[in-house]
Amino acid sequence: MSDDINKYFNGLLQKVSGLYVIQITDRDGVPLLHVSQEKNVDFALMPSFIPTFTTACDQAGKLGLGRNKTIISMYSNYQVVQMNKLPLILTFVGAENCNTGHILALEHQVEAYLENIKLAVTEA
Amino acid sequence: MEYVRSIWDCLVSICSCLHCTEDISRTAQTETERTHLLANDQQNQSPALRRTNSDLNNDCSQSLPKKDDQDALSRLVQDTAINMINVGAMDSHHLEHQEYTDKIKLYTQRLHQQWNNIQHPGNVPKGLLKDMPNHQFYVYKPVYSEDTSQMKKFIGKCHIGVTDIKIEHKEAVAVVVPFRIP
Repeated sequence: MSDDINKYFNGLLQKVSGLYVIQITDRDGVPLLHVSQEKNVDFALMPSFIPTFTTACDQAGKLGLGRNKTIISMYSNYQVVQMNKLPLILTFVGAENCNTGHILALEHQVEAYLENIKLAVTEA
Repeated sequence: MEYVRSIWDCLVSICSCLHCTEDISRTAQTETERTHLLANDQQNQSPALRRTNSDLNNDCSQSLPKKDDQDALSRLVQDTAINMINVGAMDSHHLEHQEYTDKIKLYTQRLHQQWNNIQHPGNVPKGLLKDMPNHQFYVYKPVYSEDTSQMKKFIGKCHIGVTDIKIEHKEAVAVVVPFRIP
């Protein structure tokens, strides 16, 4: 069954041109699911990068912008889309010219799995 | 004197954050933008605040006789910690390597157990009669020769109709396409 899940997420990866990585982690950055193309984008998947997102969401909410659920970080060569699906964090890494709207649209296609994956974290 | 200075520091912090102070009981119940995403709230506090809090607890244990004052003070300190934007907390959420690998193993084990219960969205039955509830009933029914001949007749008429379609050119079409003209 896990092969089917990986195949499904790999299919999502192929759907969006320029998308390199889909990763589901807990809020500490511990990976639960990871599919990627052969691209060196480890900077966005380091254990310290993802907890920073949760803290940034937390602290940025105090600036008066309200509670946000997605942070999009654009770099010179990459873009990182992180979604707050507590207790999970969804991370997408794509090329700088990848269609961000397409990445955001994947949220609904992934949600069917998240409820089940959440159980693995909440039981821990 | 140390105690008075601690109180003064605390009050200054509170005054600077008065505009964004919220009811602590409400924030504790509902998940708002002030609710910490990370579970360990102690780490979300700045080192200065943590120090102030611990100093207060040490200092106040002897000099503060009233428990209500202590509670009110700790509530104010907690309120301030919630409302204060703390950039320094960014570096305080690193897991130890051993804990990290242990968690990966634990999650992998649990996910393997759960994958079998997950309904794969791509596993929708594909093919003919997929939306028919009792398709086996219809599959096993005999096909009558009258029905077959009627279908053949219908398909033959359709074929004749398609072959009879002709295009009549009513206007002279003069389309000149320059192609590889030097």
